[in-house]
Amino acid sequence: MNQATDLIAGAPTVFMWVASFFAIFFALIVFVSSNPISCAVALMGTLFSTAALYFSLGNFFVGAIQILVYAGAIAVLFVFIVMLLDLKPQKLKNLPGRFPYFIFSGLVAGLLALFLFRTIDLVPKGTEDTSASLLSATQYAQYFLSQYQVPFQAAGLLVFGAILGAIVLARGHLGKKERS
Amino acid sequence: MSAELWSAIVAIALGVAVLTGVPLMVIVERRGSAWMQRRSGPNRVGPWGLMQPMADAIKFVFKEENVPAKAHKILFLLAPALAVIPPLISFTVIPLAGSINLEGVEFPVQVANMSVGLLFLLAINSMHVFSVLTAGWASNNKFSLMGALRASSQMISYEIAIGICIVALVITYGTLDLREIVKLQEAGSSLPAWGMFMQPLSFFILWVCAFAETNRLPFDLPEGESELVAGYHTEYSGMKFALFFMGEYAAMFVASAFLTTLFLGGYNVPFLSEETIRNFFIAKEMTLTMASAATCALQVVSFAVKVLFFMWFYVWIRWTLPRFRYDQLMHLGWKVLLPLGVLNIFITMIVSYLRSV
Repeated sequence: MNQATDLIAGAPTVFMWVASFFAIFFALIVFVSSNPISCAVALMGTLFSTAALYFSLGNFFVGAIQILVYAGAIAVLFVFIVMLLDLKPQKLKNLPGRFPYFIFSGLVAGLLALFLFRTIDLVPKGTEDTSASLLSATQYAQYFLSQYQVPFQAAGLLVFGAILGAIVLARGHLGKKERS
Repeated sequence: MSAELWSAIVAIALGVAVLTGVPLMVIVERRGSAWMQRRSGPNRVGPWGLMQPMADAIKFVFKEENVPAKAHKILFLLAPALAVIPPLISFTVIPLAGSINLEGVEFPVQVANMSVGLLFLLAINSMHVFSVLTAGWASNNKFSLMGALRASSQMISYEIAIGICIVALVITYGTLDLREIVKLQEAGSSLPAWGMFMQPLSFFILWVCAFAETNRLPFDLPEGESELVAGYHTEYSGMKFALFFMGEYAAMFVASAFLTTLFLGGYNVPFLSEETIRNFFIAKEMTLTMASAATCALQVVSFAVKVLFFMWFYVWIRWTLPRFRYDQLMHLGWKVLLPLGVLNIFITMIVSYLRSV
């Protein structure tokens, strides 16, 4: 009985490592694979693993939003579009002059890694419970409607503009008569 | 007993219950449809045909598993799994009964008591589209692709109406915690304080959307057999097809449990609060643990009855109404349910403002 209890109590930690592994694994596939469909599906896998990471760390709100917005909506739309465009895998392989891009992305990744290693010291160490410091959904709402009201509304306006732009672009090729 | 161990026990019990419920629901649907159409239905295997699901399962296992030559193999194999897993995950946040008192600690009968259960349920529900889309595309078949396109546009359209209704509900309840929502519906003197009386319009819209989301008649255009053979699962055979079938029924169970939790008071027994029932059992000279366990048993039965009502309603509607035409379906989703949902938000806002003043 004790062993079983220990096993289950240790499960969140194991789960966290598994989720991290899969997040990195799928992210690598996004870059390495030459098949657009595999890339899109792997991107979804990455977003999902990140959500799983949030869940295993106890932040359910951010995890749920991550699935709802990124994995459930945006990544599904990516998959949808890639499937409908029917892209062929070999086209991406023969891009001329890929080498500079590799160096550039390597540099960016290196800088990010450096940044992460420098900030790791800032995170409080120890085993104390950090779940008390997590914000609840109510607190998020209160921040959005008080302190961060203007950026929140501005983001809404931006999305609205993007939707209008998409409609204009999508209907732009039609004549004026057809539009009505 | 640790909270984690308790969660694991509830999870296993729940998984067994749902996976046994699915074949039972299949026999209920087949016998029920036969009863409605005045024919016999499957009545040969076992007493009253009750062993028919077993026979079906054996048949599915022994059938040939066929993968089309030009299919995308990995996605083709992934899609059936994705159809079953999300409904099973969604069940973890649904409260099944009050709490059991073990050694002085109250353990809620729920796998994961999440503070954002409602959001989690919506998030996992949105994954269903991915399975359908993947299945349709990976099969490399025109009918499958058409079915997948229909299904995904239908599900995405109706998800918007669901989201709008959830906003109105959150205004009324003021929380995203499903256990809290059930507790708010607990007491009531003349009427039970159920969500269906607080939010009748939301109840109606969500109920309609539950049919569209699970691709059941009258919204089963993705699988319309007279037009698309069988839609997105045309190329699937054997156990892979059975997984889609199980996924559909599990999704129906989730939708029913969702409606029950939000509108029919969840596990609550009408007119009786958890405390009343527990005190009744304690007065019968039970220990606290036994009394709480008996209360929970009663509440699980109450929950199951409500869920089964919605499940039966699915069957009832399926054999009563004909299928929509595609433009009618889109018209209903975008031009009827969505404006109604927005109107409902306005009414809810005004009422909750007047109540708070």
